[in-house]
Amino acid sequence: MTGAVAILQESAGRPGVLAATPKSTGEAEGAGIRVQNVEHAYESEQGIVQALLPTSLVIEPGEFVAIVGPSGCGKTTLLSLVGGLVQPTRGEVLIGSRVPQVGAPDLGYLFARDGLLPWRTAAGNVALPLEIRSVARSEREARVAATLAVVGLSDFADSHPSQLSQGMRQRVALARMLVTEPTTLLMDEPFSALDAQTRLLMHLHFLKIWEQHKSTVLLITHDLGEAITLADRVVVFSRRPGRIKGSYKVDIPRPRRVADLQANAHFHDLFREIWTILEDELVQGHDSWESKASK
Amino acid sequence: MMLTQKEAPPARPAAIANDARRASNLAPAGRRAPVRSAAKHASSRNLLLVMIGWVAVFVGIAGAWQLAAMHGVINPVFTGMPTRIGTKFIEAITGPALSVDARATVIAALIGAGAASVLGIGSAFVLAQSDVWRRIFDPYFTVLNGLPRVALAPLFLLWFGIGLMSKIMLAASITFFVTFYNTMVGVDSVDRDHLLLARAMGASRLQVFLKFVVPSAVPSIFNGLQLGFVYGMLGTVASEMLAGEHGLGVLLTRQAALFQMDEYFATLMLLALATTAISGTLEFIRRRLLRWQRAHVVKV
Repeated sequence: MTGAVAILQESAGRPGVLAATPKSTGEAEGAGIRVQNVEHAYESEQGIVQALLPTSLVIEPGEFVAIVGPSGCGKTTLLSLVGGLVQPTRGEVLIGSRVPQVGAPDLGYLFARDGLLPWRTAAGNVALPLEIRSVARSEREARVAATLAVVGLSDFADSHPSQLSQGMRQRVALARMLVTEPTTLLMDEPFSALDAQTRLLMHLHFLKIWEQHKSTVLLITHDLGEAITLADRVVVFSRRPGRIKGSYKVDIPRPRRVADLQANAHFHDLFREIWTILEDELVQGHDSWESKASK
Repeated sequence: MMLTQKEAPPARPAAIANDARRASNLAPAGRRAPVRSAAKHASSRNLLLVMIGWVAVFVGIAGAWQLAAMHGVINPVFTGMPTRIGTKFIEAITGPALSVDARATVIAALIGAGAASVLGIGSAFVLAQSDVWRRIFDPYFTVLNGLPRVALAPLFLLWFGIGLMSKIMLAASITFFVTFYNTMVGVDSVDRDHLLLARAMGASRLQVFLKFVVPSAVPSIFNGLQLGFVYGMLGTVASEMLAGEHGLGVLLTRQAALFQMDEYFATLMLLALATTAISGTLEFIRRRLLRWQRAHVVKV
């Protein structure tokens, strides 16, 4: 298993930290994800809620897929199913050839809320998943330092989360995900809590890291611009109960320069094309919301 | 038209405030340092004022008390007199009042509160693991905790005699519930995001407990310990006042019965001093352990 840190080390200027890990060739390393007729329903006080209609989706190894859709459409449910956090009511999810298991070493998660432990320093938070996997202290320290360097927070290793800005906190969370060198990244609105400027910087940072690494990524977002900026493919979800409405290849060549995308005509064409579909869902969702409210 | 014009100006300050907030968000932590040290400067300047205030309040109250007692406004037979109380206090801290009685009280309270804290924190951690156990014990704990524990003092004297043991038991019977409930609150307050994260990292049950649950419970465990010790002193002194060989509670009862009010107030001062010294030690440990949590300073 080669990981993000291996490549990231180069930028960190710390060769040999992970001597056993071969250098990345930039080829796909992640496992493919196969979602077959998966549906999910759960019981609530209002009866049985169908969170996700039967859904099928194939993500190639090393592919970056973004899912966009109105809020409450089941995007997060799909991610939880792929991450093994929730079991499907019907159907099957496979990562590579295995059923996803929560906490599996090759899975990395990033959520909207950073979830940093306030009593640990930035370095302590990044070290947490390694401690849980009983990685030896010396290796742990080297990997934490290398990963913090990758997200540009070496100078803040000893800061507590309360001393960091929102953007820095989310970068610590990103480092915490990358430090275990996962080959499949599951990200649920990871940048949504950041202000617009910080979010752009995170896109830049993250793309640079990922384009060298090419793990398989499933990104959930409500921000279509973000989806097109980052992903190889954008999948549009319908409003609740969720199902896939369309899938769009983003054929903007890599490495992408986030700053140049605004001037890229193709970016805007894609945005318009996908937006017409997405807008439908948003507007209809809104209408049904209003009719409910007026009842 | 008029209305929009009138409404327009207030919108600007809000926008500026918004910009400022964003700017401070993006600023590296180092930039905030000047603000913090300025605040520190102001607080050290205030400290002098506060200390002058402390002296002034003490002199005011003690002086008024002294004058009133000297001029027959109040009767020193019942109220004592600050100058004589001072003399008796010096006698107390150089004599057996400190070396025997205060020692007996503090030792009993420390043993009682200490043992009860270990038990209280331990049982909270154990019961937190199982909803069924917790619900079985809940009504009993609620009833026992509601019972004014001083009512048990005569019973404990019968069971354990007038020595150390009955004081310890009374102190422990109060402290146990204080630390138990505070630990429970701490365990329940663990952040759901942290638990989700723990699952995602594949943490074992023990790891979740040690790395996520216990640290997040530490602030309220400390609240429990500090409160628990104060209540432990209460239980000890109450037991001593009822019956005992040594202890500040024994002294207080005797001095009140003999109308030795100067001695009585001197003993009270000793009692307050002993409690403050131990509370202060706990507060010091708490601040060291919880340095990450600057905002959280609760006075007990």
